[in-house]
Amino acid sequence: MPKLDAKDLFNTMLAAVRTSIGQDVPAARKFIESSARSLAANTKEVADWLAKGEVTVDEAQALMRMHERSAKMALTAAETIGLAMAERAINAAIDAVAGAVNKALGVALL
Amino acid sequence: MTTTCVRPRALETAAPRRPRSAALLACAVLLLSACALHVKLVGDYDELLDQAVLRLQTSTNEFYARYDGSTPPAKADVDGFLAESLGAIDAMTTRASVLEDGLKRAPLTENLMKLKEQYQELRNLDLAKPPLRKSSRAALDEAFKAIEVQLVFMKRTQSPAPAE
Repeated sequence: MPKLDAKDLFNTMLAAVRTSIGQDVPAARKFIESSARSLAANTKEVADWLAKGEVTVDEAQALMRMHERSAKMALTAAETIGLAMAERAINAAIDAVAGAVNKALGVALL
Repeated sequence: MTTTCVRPRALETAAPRRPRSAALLACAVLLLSACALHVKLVGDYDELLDQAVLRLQTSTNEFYARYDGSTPPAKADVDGFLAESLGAIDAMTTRASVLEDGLKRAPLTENLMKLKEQYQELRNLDLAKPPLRKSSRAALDEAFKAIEVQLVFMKRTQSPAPAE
């Protein structure tokens, strides 16, 4: 029966985690940066309209509540990205060693 | 005053190397066996929900596009649009909450509830004013973008169906 080495298992799992996370990080960063840029641009626009008297204070406040809520939604979406990344990384780590573990134990444990 | 640390007798005899690594391995196997059924942190992707979000986004864009020119929307038009949109969001929220049932976090449900608040906020705005139309549309675009990103990542995370 082949031996299982804890260090080898760990290294295999770590490599799988790195590969899985590496695919998602650039997409997550791009999305968060884009949301931050939009919030900045929309805030400036509302402030300019208010300064020129094109909107009332109440209207400007309502618009800013909307933009703020959208920014919070972007953060919640970022949380989803994080959870999805974690789920895929953990499952990739399990899959990466499943063959070796099952073979060594002689049973389909994973 | 000094304190002396008395080591329990059992710890004084160092454990041999092989049993320790065997214990580590046993722990690793136990840990892995606990995860045998894949970890689930996000809800299942649902195509119907995705399509419903897209339909709402399309109808919202059409509503704003109708009043891109100089004609301001009539109050009845705004009320009808809001009633229809809020009803659609309620249906989507119910579906999302079922998909995220039992999970520690329910971010999609949370965002759909916030989307509802966005539409409710439109009642506070006089959409006859072009700046308010422009800015509220931009806020809604960002809100939809957030939900779309969630759906994309949920779809990407969806485990393949087990082979028959």
